[in-house]
Amino acid sequence: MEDLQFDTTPSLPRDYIYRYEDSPDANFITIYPGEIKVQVFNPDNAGGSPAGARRMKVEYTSLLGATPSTPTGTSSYALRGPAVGDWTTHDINNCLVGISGYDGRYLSLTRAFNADDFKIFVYKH
Amino acid sequence: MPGDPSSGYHESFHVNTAGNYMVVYDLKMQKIYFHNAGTTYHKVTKYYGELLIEEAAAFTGLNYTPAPFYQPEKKFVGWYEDALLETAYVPKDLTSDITLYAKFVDSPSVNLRFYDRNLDIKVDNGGFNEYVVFAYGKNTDGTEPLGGWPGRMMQKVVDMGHELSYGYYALNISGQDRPEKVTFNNGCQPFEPEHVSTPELVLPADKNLYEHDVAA
Repeated sequence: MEDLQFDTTPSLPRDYIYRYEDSPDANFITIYPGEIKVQVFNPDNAGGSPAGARRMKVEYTSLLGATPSTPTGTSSYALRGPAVGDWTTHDINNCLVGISGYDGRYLSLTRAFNADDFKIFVYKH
Repeated sequence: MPGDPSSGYHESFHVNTAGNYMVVYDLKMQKIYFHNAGTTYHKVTKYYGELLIEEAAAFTGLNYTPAPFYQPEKKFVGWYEDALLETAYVPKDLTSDITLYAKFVDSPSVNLRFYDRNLDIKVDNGGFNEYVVFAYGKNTDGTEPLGGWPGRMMQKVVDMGHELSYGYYALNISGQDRPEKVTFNNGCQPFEPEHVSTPELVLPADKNLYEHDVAA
Protein backbone atom coordinates (compact mmCIF):
# COMPACT_ATOMS: atom_id res chain seq x y z
CA MET A 1 0.00 0.00 0.00
CA GLU A 2 2.12 2.84 -1.28
CA ASP A 3 2.02 6.46 -0.24
CA LEU A 4 -0.25 5.76 2.68
CA GLN A 5 -0.46 8.81 4.89
CA PHE A 6 -0.88 8.80 8.63
CA ASP A 7 -3.87 10.44 10.19
CA THR A 8 -2.96 13.93 11.25
CA THR A 9 -5.07 13.48 14.33
CA PRO A 10 -2.49 12.68 16.99
CA SER A 11 -2.44 9.03 17.77
CA LEU A 12 -2.66 8.46 21.49
CA PRO A 13 -0.20 8.58 23.04
CA ARG A 14 1.45 9.99 19.95
CA ASP A 15 4.95 10.13 21.36
CA TYR A 16 5.03 6.34 21.60
CA ILE A 17 4.60 5.76 17.87
CA TYR A 18 7.51 6.52 15.59
CA ARG A 19 6.76 6.74 11.90
CA TYR A 20 9.35 6.83 9.18
CA GLU A 21 9.01 10.13 7.36
CA ASP A 22 10.50 8.84 4.13
CA SER A 23 8.85 5.44 4.09
CA PRO A 24 6.61 4.93 1.01
CA ASP A 25 4.76 2.08 2.68
CA ALA A 26 4.18 3.92 5.94
CA ASN A 27 6.36 1.80 8.20
CA PHE A 28 6.20 2.63 11.86
CA ILE A 29 7.52 1.28 15.10
CA THR A 30 6.07 1.24 18.58
CA ILE A 31 8.39 2.72 21.17
CA TYR A 32 6.95 0.69 24.02
CA PRO A 33 5.50 -2.80 24.08
CA GLY A 34 1.73 -2.69 24.16
CA GLU A 35 -1.55 -3.37 22.42
CA ILE A 36 -2.00 -1.41 19.20
CA LYS A 37 -5.07 -0.48 17.15
CA VAL A 38 -4.43 0.25 13.47
CA GLN A 39 -7.16 1.81 11.34
CA VAL A 40 -7.07 2.47 7.59
CA PHE A 41 -9.56 5.01 6.33
CA ASN A 42 -10.78 5.02 2.72
CA PRO A 43 -8.33 2.30 1.58
CA ASP A 44 -9.46 2.61 -2.07
CA ASN A 45 -8.80 6.35 -1.97
CA ALA A 46 -12.24 7.00 -3.44
CA GLY A 47 -12.92 10.62 -4.20
CA GLY A 48 -15.62 12.21 -2.08
CA SER A 49 -15.47 9.43 0.50
CA PRO A 50 -17.12 10.46 3.77
CA ALA A 51 -14.08 8.91 5.48
CA GLY A 52 -11.86 11.58 3.95
CA ALA A 53 -8.50 10.98 2.34
CA ARG A 54 -6.82 7.58 2.46
CA ARG A 55 -4.81 7.47 5.63
CA MET A 56 -3.82 5.32 8.57
CA LYS A 57 -4.26 5.92 12.26
CA VAL A 58 -2.23 4.12 14.91
CA GLU A 59 -3.15 4.11 18.57
CA TYR A 60 -2.13 2.28 21.67
CA THR A 61 -5.06 0.70 23.42
CA SER A 62 -2.89 -0.34 26.33
CA LEU A 63 0.73 -0.06 27.33
CA LEU A 64 2.61 -2.76 29.16
CA GLY A 65 3.85 -1.20 32.34
CA ALA A 66 3.10 -0.66 35.97
CA THR A 67 -0.16 1.10 35.10
CA PRO A 68 -1.81 1.75 31.75
CA SER A 69 -0.53 5.32 31.66
CA THR A 70 2.87 4.65 33.17
CA PRO A 71 4.84 2.54 30.75
CA THR A 72 7.96 1.23 32.36
CA GLY A 73 8.70 -1.51 29.89
CA THR A 74 11.81 -1.84 27.82
CA SER A 75 11.49 0.41 24.78
CA SER A 76 12.36 -0.17 21.13
CA TYR A 77 15.29 2.22 21.28
CA ALA A 78 18.76 0.86 21.99
CA LEU A 79 22.23 2.34 22.24
CA ARG A 80 24.75 0.99 19.79
CA GLY A 81 28.34 1.80 18.98
CA PRO A 82 31.85 1.27 20.32
CA ALA A 83 31.02 3.32 23.41
CA VAL A 84 28.69 0.50 24.51
CA GLY A 85 29.94 -2.46 22.46
CA ASP A 86 30.10 -2.18 18.69
CA TRP A 87 28.03 -0.87 15.76
CA THR A 88 26.55 -4.25 14.77
CA THR A 89 25.54 -5.93 18.02
CA HIS A 90 21.92 -5.73 19.12
CA ASP A 91 21.93 -6.09 22.87
CA ILE A 92 18.61 -5.87 24.66
CA ASN A 93 20.50 -4.76 27.75
CA ASN A 94 21.27 -1.55 25.84
CA CYS A 95 17.59 -0.72 25.34
CA LEU A 96 16.30 2.43 27.01
CA VAL A 97 13.64 1.93 29.68
CA GLY A 98 10.72 4.23 30.49
CA ILE A 99 10.99 6.32 33.64
CA SER A 100 7.86 5.74 35.68
CA GLY A 101 5.65 8.62 36.66
CA TYR A 102 5.95 10.68 33.49
CA ASP A 103 3.49 8.96 31.20
CA GLY A 104 6.29 7.34 29.28
CA ARG A 105 7.82 10.65 28.20
CA TYR A 106 11.36 9.84 29.34
CA LEU A 107 13.52 6.85 28.48
CA SER A 108 16.75 6.22 30.30
CA LEU A 109 19.67 3.83 30.62
CA THR A 110 22.54 3.93 33.09
CA ARG A 111 25.60 1.87 32.24
CA ALA A 112 29.36 1.97 31.67
CA PHE A 113 30.55 3.77 28.56
CA ASN A 114 33.86 3.51 26.73
CA ALA A 115 35.44 6.74 25.55
CA ASP A 116 34.01 6.38 22.04
CA ASP A 117 30.91 6.96 19.90
CA PHE A 118 27.31 5.75 20.12
CA LYS A 119 23.94 6.38 18.54
CA ILE A 120 20.37 5.39 19.28
CA PHE A 121 18.90 2.73 16.99
CA VAL A 122 15.72 0.72 16.82
CA TYR A 123 16.38 -2.57 18.58
CA LYS A 124 16.20 -5.62 16.31
CA HIS A 125 15.21 -8.88 17.91
CA MET B 1 16.80 12.85 17.78
CA PRO B 2 16.39 13.83 14.15
CA GLY B 3 16.26 11.30 11.39
CA ASP B 4 15.47 7.64 11.17
CA PRO B 5 16.46 5.80 14.35
CA SER B 6 16.66 2.45 12.59
CA SER B 7 19.57 3.68 10.52
CA GLY B 8 21.08 5.76 13.26
CA TYR B 9 20.69 8.74 10.94
CA HIS B 10 21.44 11.35 13.53
CA GLU B 11 24.63 12.76 14.91
CA SER B 12 26.54 10.23 16.93
CA PHE B 13 27.50 11.08 20.48
CA HIS B 14 31.10 10.95 21.57
CA VAL B 15 32.03 10.04 25.12
CA ASN B 16 35.23 11.84 26.09
CA THR B 17 35.90 10.03 29.34
CA ALA B 18 34.99 6.42 30.01
CA GLY B 19 32.73 5.92 32.99
CA ASN B 20 29.23 5.27 34.20
CA TYR B 21 26.64 7.62 32.74
CA MET B 22 22.88 7.94 32.40
CA VAL B 23 21.39 8.58 28.97
CA VAL B 24 17.92 10.13 28.99
CA TYR B 25 15.78 10.53 25.89
CA ASP B 26 12.90 13.02 26.17
CA LEU B 27 10.37 11.78 23.60
CA LYS B 28 8.22 14.89 23.83
CA MET B 29 10.97 17.45 23.31
CA GLN B 30 13.06 15.12 21.11
CA LYS B 31 16.14 15.80 23.19
CA ILE B 32 18.83 13.47 24.49
CA TYR B 33 20.61 14.18 27.77
CA PHE B 34 23.86 12.64 28.96
CA HIS B 35 24.14 12.73 32.73
CA ASN B 36 26.54 11.43 35.31
CA ALA B 37 25.38 8.14 36.78
CA GLY B 38 23.38 8.73 39.91
CA THR B 39 21.84 11.96 38.66
CA THR B 40 18.43 12.37 40.23
CA TYR B 41 15.44 14.38 39.11
CA HIS B 42 12.48 16.24 40.51
CA LYS B 43 8.99 16.42 39.16
CA VAL B 44 7.75 19.69 37.67
CA THR B 45 3.97 19.82 37.42
CA LYS B 46 2.64 22.57 35.17
CA TYR B 47 -0.81 24.09 35.24
CA TYR B 48 -2.74 26.66 33.28
CA GLY B 49 -5.33 27.64 35.85
CA GLU B 50 -6.69 24.29 36.97
CA LEU B 51 -5.73 22.58 33.73
CA LEU B 52 -2.83 20.13 34.07
CA ILE B 53 -0.50 20.85 31.16
CA GLU B 54 2.24 18.31 31.73
CA GLU B 55 4.59 16.68 34.18
CA ALA B 56 8.25 17.10 33.37
CA ALA B 57 11.50 15.94 34.95
CA ALA B 58 14.11 18.46 36.10
CA PHE B 59 17.50 16.81 36.43
CA THR B 60 19.82 17.83 39.23
CA GLY B 61 22.92 19.76 38.33
CA LEU B 62 21.16 21.80 35.65
CA ASN B 63 19.16 24.98 35.88
CA TYR B 64 15.65 23.97 34.90
CA THR B 65 14.21 26.32 32.25
CA PRO B 66 10.64 25.44 31.32
CA ALA B 67 9.60 25.92 27.71
CA PRO B 68 6.87 28.46 26.91
CA PHE B 69 3.34 27.20 26.59
CA TYR B 70 0.97 28.46 23.93
CA GLN B 71 -2.74 29.15 23.96
CA PRO B 72 -4.80 30.52 21.08
CA GLU B 73 -5.61 34.24 21.24
CA LYS B 74 -3.24 34.73 24.16
CA LYS B 75 0.36 35.72 24.74
CA PHE B 76 2.50 33.72 27.15
CA VAL B 77 4.00 35.91 29.89
CA GLY B 78 5.93 33.35 31.93
CA TRP B 79 5.87 30.68 34.61
CA TYR B 80 4.96 31.41 38.24
CA GLU B 81 5.42 29.41 41.42
CA ASP B 82 2.01 30.26 42.87
CA ALA B 83 -1.52 30.01 41.58
CA LEU B 84 -2.04 33.74 42.18
CA LEU B 85 0.71 34.42 39.65
CA GLU B 86 2.68 36.69 41.97
CA THR B 87 6.05 34.95 42.24
CA ALA B 88 7.78 34.55 38.90
CA TYR B 89 9.80 31.38 38.51
CA VAL B 90 13.52 31.98 38.00
CA PRO B 91 15.43 29.10 36.35
CA LYS B 92 17.41 27.20 38.97
CA ASP B 93 18.74 23.80 39.96
CA LEU B 94 15.71 22.36 41.68
CA THR B 95 16.13 20.57 45.00
CA SER B 96 12.55 19.35 45.32
CA ASP B 97 9.39 18.83 43.29
CA ILE B 98 7.71 22.03 42.17
CA THR B 99 4.43 23.21 40.68
CA LEU B 100 4.45 25.96 38.07
CA TYR B 101 1.56 28.03 36.73
CA ALA B 102 1.43 29.62 33.29
CA LYS B 103 0.47 33.29 32.99
CA PHE B 104 -1.07 34.72 29.87
CA VAL B 105 -2.51 38.02 28.71
CA ASP B 106 -5.22 38.35 26.10
CA SER B 107 -3.71 38.88 22.69
CA PRO B 108 -6.09 38.29 19.81
CA SER B 109 -4.65 37.02 16.58
CA VAL B 110 -4.80 39.50 13.75
CA ASN B 111 -4.94 39.54 9.98
CA LEU B 112 -2.71 42.57 9.63
CA ARG B 113 -3.50 44.69 6.57
CA PHE B 114 -1.35 47.39 5.05
CA TYR B 115 -2.37 49.75 2.26
CA ASP B 116 0.54 51.37 0.47
CA ARG B 117 -1.55 54.06 -1.22
CA ASN B 118 1.17 55.45 -3.48
CA LEU B 119 3.16 52.25 -3.90
CA ASP B 120 6.11 53.84 -2.14
CA ILE B 121 7.44 50.62 -0.64
CA LYS B 122 9.28 48.84 -3.39
CA VAL B 123 12.69 47.70 -4.52
CA ASP B 124 14.37 48.72 -7.75
CA ASN B 125 15.24 45.34 -9.15
CA GLY B 126 17.43 46.02 -12.16
CA GLY B 127 15.30 48.70 -13.75
CA PHE B 128 11.82 47.56 -12.76
CA ASN B 129 10.03 47.99 -9.49
CA GLU B 130 9.38 44.96 -7.34
CA TYR B 131 6.60 45.56 -4.85
CA VAL B 132 7.34 43.67 -1.66
CA VAL B 133 6.43 44.59 1.90
CA PHE B 134 7.72 43.17 5.17
CA ALA B 135 6.24 43.71 8.63
CA TYR B 136 8.80 44.11 11.41
CA GLY B 137 7.42 43.85 14.94
CA LYS B 138 8.88 45.07 18.20
CA ASN B 139 7.70 45.00 21.80
CA THR B 140 8.57 47.47 24.54
CA ASP B 141 10.74 44.81 26.19
CA GLY B 142 12.91 44.73 23.07
CA THR B 143 11.72 41.37 21.74
CA GLU B 144 11.07 40.95 18.03
CA PRO B 145 8.04 38.66 17.74
CA LEU B 146 8.12 38.61 13.93
CA GLY B 147 11.85 37.90 13.83
CA GLY B 148 14.78 40.20 13.23
CA TRP B 149 14.76 42.93 10.61
CA PRO B 150 13.06 43.04 8.11
CA GLY B 151 10.49 40.80 9.80
CA ARG B 152 7.99 38.68 7.91
CA MET B 153 7.06 39.12 4.26
CA MET B 154 3.44 40.10 3.74
CA GLN B 155 1.23 38.59 1.07
CA LYS B 156 -0.10 40.75 -1.76
CA VAL B 157 -3.87 41.01 -1.70
CA VAL B 158 -4.96 40.78 -5.34
CA ASP B 159 -8.60 41.10 -6.25
CA MET B 160 -8.77 38.97 -9.41
CA GLY B 161 -5.81 40.87 -10.75
CA HIS B 162 -7.60 44.21 -10.87
CA GLU B 163 -5.18 47.08 -10.67
CA LEU B 164 -7.30 48.76 -8.01
CA SER B 165 -6.22 46.14 -5.54
CA TYR B 166 -2.54 46.93 -5.90
CA GLY B 167 -0.94 48.24 -2.76
CA TYR B 168 -2.79 45.97 -0.34
CA TYR B 169 -0.79 43.50 1.72
CA ALA B 170 -1.82 41.07 4.45
CA LEU B 171 -0.18 38.95 7.14
CA ASN B 172 -1.75 36.54 9.62
CA ILE B 173 -0.20 36.91 13.08
CA SER B 174 -1.02 34.64 16.03
CA GLY B 175 -1.86 36.06 19.42
CA GLN B 176 1.51 34.85 20.74
CA ASP B 177 3.40 36.74 18.04
CA ARG B 178 1.26 39.88 17.92
CA PRO B 179 3.70 42.80 18.26
CA GLU B 180 3.05 46.03 20.12
CA LYS B 181 4.63 48.10 17.36
CA VAL B 182 5.12 47.40 13.68
CA THR B 183 7.24 48.92 10.91
CA PHE B 184 6.40 48.17 7.28
CA ASN B 185 9.43 48.08 5.03
CA ASN B 186 10.79 46.89 1.70
CA GLY B 187 13.17 44.29 3.12
CA CYS B 188 16.33 46.37 2.76
CA GLN B 189 18.52 47.06 5.76
CA PRO B 190 18.12 50.59 7.17
CA PHE B 191 21.67 51.51 6.15
CA GLU B 192 21.10 50.54 2.52
CA PRO B 193 20.23 53.37 0.09
CA GLU B 194 17.24 51.43 -1.27
CA HIS B 195 15.73 51.20 2.21
CA VAL B 196 12.11 52.41 2.49
CA SER B 197 9.92 52.03 5.55
CA THR B 198 7.07 53.60 7.46
CA PRO B 199 7.60 55.07 10.92
CA GLU B 200 7.23 52.66 13.83
CA LEU B 201 3.46 52.33 14.30
CA VAL B 202 1.62 51.25 17.44
CA LEU B 203 -0.63 48.25 16.86
CA PRO B 204 -3.67 48.66 19.08
CA ALA B 205 -5.93 45.71 19.83
CA ASP B 206 -8.79 47.05 17.70
CA LYS B 207 -6.85 47.94 14.58
CA ASN B 208 -5.49 45.86 11.74
CA LEU B 209 -5.28 48.22 8.74
CA TYR B 210 -2.72 50.89 8.11
CA GLU B 211 -2.60 53.27 5.20
CA HIS B 212 0.72 54.57 4.03
CA ASP B 213 0.22 57.98 2.48
CA VAL B 214 3.33 59.81 3.52
CA ALA B 215 4.01 60.92 -0.02
CA ALA B 216 0.38 61.76 -0.85
